[in-house]
Amino acid sequence: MKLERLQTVRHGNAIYACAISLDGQQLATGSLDNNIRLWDTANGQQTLSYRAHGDGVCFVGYLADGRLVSAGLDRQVKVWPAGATAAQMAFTGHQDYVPCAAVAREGSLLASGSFDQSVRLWNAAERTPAGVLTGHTGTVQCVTFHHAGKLVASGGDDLTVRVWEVATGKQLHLLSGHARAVEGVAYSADGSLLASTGGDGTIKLWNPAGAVVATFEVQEGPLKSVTFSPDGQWLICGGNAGKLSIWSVAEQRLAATIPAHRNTVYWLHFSADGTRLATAGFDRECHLWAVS
Amino acid sequence: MFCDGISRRNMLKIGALGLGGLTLPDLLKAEAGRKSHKAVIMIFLSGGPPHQDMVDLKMEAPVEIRGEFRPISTNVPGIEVCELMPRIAQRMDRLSIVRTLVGSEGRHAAFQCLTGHGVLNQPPGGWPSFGSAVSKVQGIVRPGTLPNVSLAPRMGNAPWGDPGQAGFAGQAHAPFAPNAQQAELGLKKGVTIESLKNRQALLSQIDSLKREAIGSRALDGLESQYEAAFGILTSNTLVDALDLEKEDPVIRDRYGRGAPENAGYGDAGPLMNDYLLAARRLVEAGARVVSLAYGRWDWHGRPHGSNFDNARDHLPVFDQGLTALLDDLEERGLSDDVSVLVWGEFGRTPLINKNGGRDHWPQVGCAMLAGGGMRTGQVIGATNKLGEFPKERPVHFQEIFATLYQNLGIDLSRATIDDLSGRPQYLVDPVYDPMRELVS
Repeated sequence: MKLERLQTVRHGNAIYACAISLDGQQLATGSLDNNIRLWDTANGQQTLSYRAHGDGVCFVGYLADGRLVSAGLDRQVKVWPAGATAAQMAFTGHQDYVPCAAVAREGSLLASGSFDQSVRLWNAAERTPAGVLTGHTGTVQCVTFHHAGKLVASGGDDLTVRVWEVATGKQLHLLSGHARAVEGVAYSADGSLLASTGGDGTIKLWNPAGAVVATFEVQEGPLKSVTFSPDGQWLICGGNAGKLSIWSVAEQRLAATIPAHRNTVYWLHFSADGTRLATAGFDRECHLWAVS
Repeated sequence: MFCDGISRRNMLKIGALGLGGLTLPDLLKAEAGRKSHKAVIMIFLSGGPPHQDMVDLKMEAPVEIRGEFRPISTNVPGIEVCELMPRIAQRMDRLSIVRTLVGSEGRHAAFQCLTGHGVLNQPPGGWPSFGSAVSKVQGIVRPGTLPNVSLAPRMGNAPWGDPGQAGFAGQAHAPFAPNAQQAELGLKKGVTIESLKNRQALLSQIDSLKREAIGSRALDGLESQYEAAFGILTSNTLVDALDLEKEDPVIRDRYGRGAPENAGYGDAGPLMNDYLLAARRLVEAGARVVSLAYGRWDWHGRPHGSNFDNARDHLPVFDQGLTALLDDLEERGLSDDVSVLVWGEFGRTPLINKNGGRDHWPQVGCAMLAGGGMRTGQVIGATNKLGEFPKERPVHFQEIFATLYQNLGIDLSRATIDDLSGRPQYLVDPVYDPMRELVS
């Protein structure tokens, strides 16, 4: 995999999250400056900027119908119609900061994780809470949906990754092995692998049965973010060193290390077609990369 | 009290606000016979900088204390600083580092760094900030100048953006604070003619207020003071100093300009290196004391970024800004006259908390000093192996104030200001002397 930087967009404060719209034409960024900004991916021009939360925006993502979802440190999860600066709905219920969230690839299901040690599920179609997943014994730092939307994985300060069944709220697996907080989790597109990473500087790959199938020692200090390429061939992680480490999943080897940010890489997001990668950093910048 | 309920004292306060805190006699009191003057630039790192991640790295400490950064050598053999400050490292010979700042009252405020004293048990009228005390004791440098300027920006956490109280020095010696909450004249977007018109409008409002109080002889003569003060506020000297568009772009770029948005949670000020440049320009324009608050250094950790995320954000910008200021002062021949002080209200916990942050640690902090004819290229004091407390040469806040007053030529054994009860108060508690490591 090769990355070529196409655009760099900025906020006035750390950028915690980014997402590329399903049609690939729009980039959304969320920042500790409490704002969401929308950008034209063709030229990097800002098309919209608005105050979205009362505290930092830690997640942005697109629902299948094009609506934007955000989560903020103000404990709220919001849904925004395309191009709107007024939220269509705001979900509340967490009792502490919400540092992470996720959207299901299909449908209208959302998940959010919190300092209150819970994962909450929300239904953006029915505007209703859809469940509270309890079991973590520390802050939930990361959450992600399985591709089919039937599973949710979360990780956090209790050093564990937990896999939950959406329909029942039941914890299916408790995955241990990380030596420091788990900061990032991601499912491969086909759902056959779950990756986790965190403060111990490793990436672990887990199979659906909850067994470790590989551990990558990244050598770049604490890690914060991880994602699979849509074709499942590559795994990318980012961390405090500001570098992107690209791993071949099949060969289980480091393919490249790319300096990307001047500070921690908080978020990674591939476009649906896999031709673009967006990376968000505490250096107040988000880069859009061409993937080849 | 006037018949319409406006007290003379309030009128004077309103006037002082508009005038930058000075009365006509102060404005017209010239200091003759000097082309340059002694001055101090005080840089307050709002929130408490992490001493162990900047100038006192503890590589022998356990990982839960040591942190993520490595020390680098400086141009002074034996002195190391954080790897995120390479420019400072190359100018270490022009700085002194205090590793053992003690006496913090642990309050999250600029107050102690502005006055040298705690908030509690103040004398009648309150302790004056350093700039106000200097203004009271030394007056203006020359007609048309302001001795005491604060560039502290408005902040969500107001005690960090405190421009410094006048205290018992009197409102006439309050700082001119163009970035403060009540100001109409700010640096954020540069000074414009429009903003000056706004300021004139403010004074017009004051005039209206004055007319409402007509009939009282208490206001006789104030009109000429307003005119004189407005003349100063619109004088080329002050406006030029604040108008950074007039600065050589090369110099401005050397400082790095900085980000105008508030850093961190948004409750503090920006990392605005333009303020550092403005401080130099204000000193050249006659200011004796320029204070400013800079960034947000209260790094408790996630979810607002770990201590180390924030350090990677702040330290390179600070490194550029401070060294540009030092270079600028030197190139302009001001180094011996202008003392520069950098510090915060306290240090931070040696132990990294569960959120990757460091919490408040009043037991010990750090300071950096440069210029003013002080001896540099040295580290003063040493902490124990975990950076928890001083093991040698603790340095109190007031010792640093004593040093700065001496650098300005103020005799601390003689200079006093009466508090509002009429009792003379020394500028620094007499038990504290100027630091002999820095000055003779």
